[in-house]
Amino acid sequence: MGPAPTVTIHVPGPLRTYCAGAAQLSISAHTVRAALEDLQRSQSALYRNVCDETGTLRRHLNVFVNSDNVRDLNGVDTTLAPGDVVTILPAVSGG
Amino acid sequence: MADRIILTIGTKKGVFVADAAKPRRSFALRGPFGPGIPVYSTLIDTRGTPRLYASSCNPFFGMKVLRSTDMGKSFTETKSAPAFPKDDGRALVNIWGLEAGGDKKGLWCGVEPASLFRSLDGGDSWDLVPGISNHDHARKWQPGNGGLCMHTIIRDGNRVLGHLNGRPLFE
Repeated sequence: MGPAPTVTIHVPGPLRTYCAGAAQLSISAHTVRAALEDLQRSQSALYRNVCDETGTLRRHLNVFVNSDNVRDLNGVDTTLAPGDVVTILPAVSGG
Repeated sequence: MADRIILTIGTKKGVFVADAAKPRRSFALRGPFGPGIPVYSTLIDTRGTPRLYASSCNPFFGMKVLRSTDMGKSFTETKSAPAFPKDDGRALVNIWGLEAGGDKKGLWCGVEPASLFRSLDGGDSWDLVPGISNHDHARKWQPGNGGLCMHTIIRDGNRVLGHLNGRPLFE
């Protein structure tokens, strides 16, 4: 496996307070799972908002790689390519 | 009678603080703090410098504990919230109960799934209390209508009583 591709993570507004206000983070990771593990190390406060104690992505959060929800791809094992944009998007619902 | 009356009100939209002078003719209402996020439990801690606590139970981003050191004019998150050890396999669903501990900065916290956490530093760090949380029967407990939660904590001197939804009281 070659060097991990560098991707951009888009941080939703409500979570930017947990990463010093950053709207985007640059991370090198082969998969979404590896990107989350990188967040756990480098942005632990942000990570706790995205994943629970078991490491599971929180139920009402969606993660998109470019325009695709990882649920429709290979989940957190979805592979990343250089330049991909990973977006953390809270679900919106209401009546 | 106290010089001031402070009420903390947990709602689905955050925590409100109602403040009245001694005659209680009218209350000033502040908030919501932690806006838009359900608050299941609040605590007015009168040990030493008064502090207010509220559980901010965010279904999107997880549980937080809010703390006010200015009698409810502002709230900030504590440095951490209760969390199960990674190898435990359980994940916090809700914070149902907050109670003051025996010393000045001690706190107890009852959560869903039914477990008890303790802080010794005013909510900045938390440890699972294994005696009840890892009780022999804990993995077999069944939820009541409100979920499998420890919703009420009562402290009586050195005794701590925890009530689990649908289960007997544990001491």
